Amino acid sequence: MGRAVLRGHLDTITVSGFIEGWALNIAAPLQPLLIAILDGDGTEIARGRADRFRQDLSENALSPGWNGFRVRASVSLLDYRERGLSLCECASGKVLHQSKKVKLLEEHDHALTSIEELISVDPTVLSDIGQLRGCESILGQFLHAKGVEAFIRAAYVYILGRSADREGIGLYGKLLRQAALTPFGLLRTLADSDEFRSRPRQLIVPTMAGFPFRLS
Amino acid sequence: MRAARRLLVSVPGRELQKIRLGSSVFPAEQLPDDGISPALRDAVRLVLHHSSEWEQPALLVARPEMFPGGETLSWLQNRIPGATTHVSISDGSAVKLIPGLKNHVFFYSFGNGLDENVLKTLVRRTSRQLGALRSQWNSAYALRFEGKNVSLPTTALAGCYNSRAPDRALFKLFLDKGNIPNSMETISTIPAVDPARLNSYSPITYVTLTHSLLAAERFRSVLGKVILEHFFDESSALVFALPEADFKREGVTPSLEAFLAAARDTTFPIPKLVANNIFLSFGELSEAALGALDVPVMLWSSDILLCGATHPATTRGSSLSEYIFAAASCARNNSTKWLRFC
Amino acid sequence: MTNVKPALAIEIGPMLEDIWTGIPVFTRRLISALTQDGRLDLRFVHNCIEIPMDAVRSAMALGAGSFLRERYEQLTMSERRILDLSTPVLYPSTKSNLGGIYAREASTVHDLSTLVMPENHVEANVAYHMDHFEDELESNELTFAISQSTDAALQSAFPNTAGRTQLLYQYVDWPDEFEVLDRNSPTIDIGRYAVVIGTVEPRKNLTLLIDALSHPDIAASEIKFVIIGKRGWLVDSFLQDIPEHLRGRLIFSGFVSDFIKYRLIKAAEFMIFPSMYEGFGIPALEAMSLGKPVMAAMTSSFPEVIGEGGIYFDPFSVTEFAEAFAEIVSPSRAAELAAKALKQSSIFNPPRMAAPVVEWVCSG
Repeated sequence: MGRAVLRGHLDTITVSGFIEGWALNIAAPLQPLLIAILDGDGTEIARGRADRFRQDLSENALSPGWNGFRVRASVSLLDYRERGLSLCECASGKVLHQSKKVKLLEEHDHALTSIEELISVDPTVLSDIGQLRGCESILGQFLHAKGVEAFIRAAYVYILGRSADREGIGLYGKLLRQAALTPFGLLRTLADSDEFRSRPRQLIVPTMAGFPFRLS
Repeated sequence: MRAARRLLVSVPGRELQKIRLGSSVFPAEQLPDDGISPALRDAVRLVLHHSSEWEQPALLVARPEMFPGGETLSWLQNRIPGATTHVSISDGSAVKLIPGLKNHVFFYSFGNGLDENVLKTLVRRTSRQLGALRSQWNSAYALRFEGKNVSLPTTALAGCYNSRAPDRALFKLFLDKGNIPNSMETISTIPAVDPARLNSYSPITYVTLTHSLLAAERFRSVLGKVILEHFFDESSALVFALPEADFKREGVTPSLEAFLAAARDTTFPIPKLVANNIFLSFGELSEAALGALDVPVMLWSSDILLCGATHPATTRGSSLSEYIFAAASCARNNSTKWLRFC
Repeated sequence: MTNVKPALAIEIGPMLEDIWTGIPVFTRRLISALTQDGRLDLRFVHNCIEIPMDAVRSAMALGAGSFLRERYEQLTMSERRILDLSTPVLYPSTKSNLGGIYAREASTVHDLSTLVMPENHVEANVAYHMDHFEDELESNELTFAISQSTDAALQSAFPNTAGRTQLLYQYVDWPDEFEVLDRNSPTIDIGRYAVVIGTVEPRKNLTLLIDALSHPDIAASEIKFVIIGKRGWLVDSFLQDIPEHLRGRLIFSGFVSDFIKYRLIKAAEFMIFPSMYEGFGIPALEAMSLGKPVMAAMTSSFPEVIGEGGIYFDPFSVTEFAEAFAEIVSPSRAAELAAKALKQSSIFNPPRMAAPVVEWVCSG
């Protein structure tokens, strides 16, 4: 892995006590950064991982979409809006962004009142296969590094939970080599299959250790 | 000899699955009859009768396997004060041991759909465990594994025999080897006989049957021979106690059908006649009914028959428990073939 | 002069499962613990074939066995190497009929439920575990038991293992990121609740809780019961026995990810574990590691794992269950138990898991 190229931004604070933004290492966008939010005195008031999916980020070439953060502050944020906050990357201590005027959102705390709701916001599993669209280049890097067949095998295991069959390797290998199908396209195809729909599985998000397409 | 202090009883886990227990340890007499098999009910009754003279009443431990040692065993020991002896009433699929106690096993009825092969398999898998047992109650199985004897002396229970068996009428045997349904129909149309009428025969051979016995090839050859012998000697009587309906089989018809099929399959010819001295009882006769007979009754049970005993015990009005002990001794003394599990 | 580390090969068969629960996770923890310990030259084997270390490490990073299985199946003939016979081999579970090959072998007994509770297993499963079990014990130089309870049951049923067994305690290892993920997630507000480990499988004894719902003390309480795991089609027949107004107290989570399980336990007041028989009871340790006391049946391994971090009850007694419940919901007692639970959980750790294995290997 090359030298880290860190970027980040403080976007908003909420009346419910959360600080939102994004942060990533451009050289390894699926390795979530551990970030901290400091107040004007340099005191840490929040800490977390920049690993949340954001649709706007996924549409930006810089990020696969999985670099947002939403961290709970240990103090009331209403006083800090004008006093300034800093976004730091914990490992290096580097300040990624400082802001004296972070936008305030009138969003109030929404507690989860059912198990179904709790499960629906599970940050460790995908809520939709489309959330991987922004990972196309990363999937392509895996394919390029490991080969088409290895990519297909990994895709089958990841989506369907089983080994790829010869027919699938043959068919999808041909389509991938001809660029008639993109790597993300294969994942979507498998996720749309009758097999997957009849036995749906929880698919781990790309920022967790179990995601098989990370090269490092 | 000082009387034993207290008996613990355990039963197969599968027998408890339909019962809501209120405690892991409770007086054994409180085990509900509903939900357990008739065979287990009788075995528990026999065990309770056997231990009724002990210092303290018997307790049932629902799942001894939950208390293998350490703190759980201490917890159990606090709830079983005075316990010295444990009997695992077993269907052959598992034998429970309680550390620190004298452990015994009671292989209760192998009729009622319980397969003796299950016991063979258990012995094959855990022969050394069975070697830790003090005795087997009311059976005389000789267990051998890889050429070694697993010595399990027999303890005969001083017990009641089927004290709740109702008075039963007897039915005369008729067998048309080519037509079992017709045989069953004919039997049902012949007037039933009062067991007291058996006093007009001597001797009486009384055979208690189980489903696994009827399925055993060795027994079928014995069955045919003994039926044919009685057709030629109308002064003696032969009484078969068919297996009682159990929790797996509904009604008594399957027992009769199984018996007639076993008789059909013998190599001996069976005359297509109503037998005036060969009787069928749908379930075992009560001890009272047997005890009321003035003539000798030779009693055979499934264990002894499978052992190939040729000298069954003879009793005149004595209790069945004494018979079992006598029969076991007979079998040993006559060097009969033992059932081997290897 | 460099010291050569003694070698140990671990049979990785359990890790070939797609989804890792139970024994595959135990195996992963064992490998992690021995890696951290560092005193052994670890190798990996399956059906006598050495498995490349990088394949096993990748599988551990992914937390699933599908790729490992593929890698094993795709090993070319020239890549396949038979493990040297002199290498000690540790089986993290049963050897089935694979054993008696290597000079030094040890296997791990998790529980004896197929022997002592055969009615809860299909015969094929009983046969798989028990048909070669005595031979397995004979061919072991040492047999590891995952708890004192399992060890006691093992020695009772197989007396010739006396002196040739050793305890092998596992530990809990939540992913590092779970704590910070949980802190930054929306608050859970489903009211006061206890998490329950159980299914309608008889051994798990969920029917005790269902019966206890009608006990006056429990019926009057506001505490709900969140049962973690798949609901199962048999549940409905059990629920029919419960008065409708009490049915809402039971919440079935269905299958959940490890993170959701973590959150549910962390937000609970305590855990209830009514099982009749467990080899170890890892869910209890999971709860205690998050500072939650456990209300457990007084059976099998629970007292040695939970220690003073919980309260015990007769697994068949609604009365004792209710008494334990009344004690654990009392705020002062709950706080006291929570502290003890956390402390108790710390005695199960990677060095403790590694030590007996290293001792065995080095004793040869």
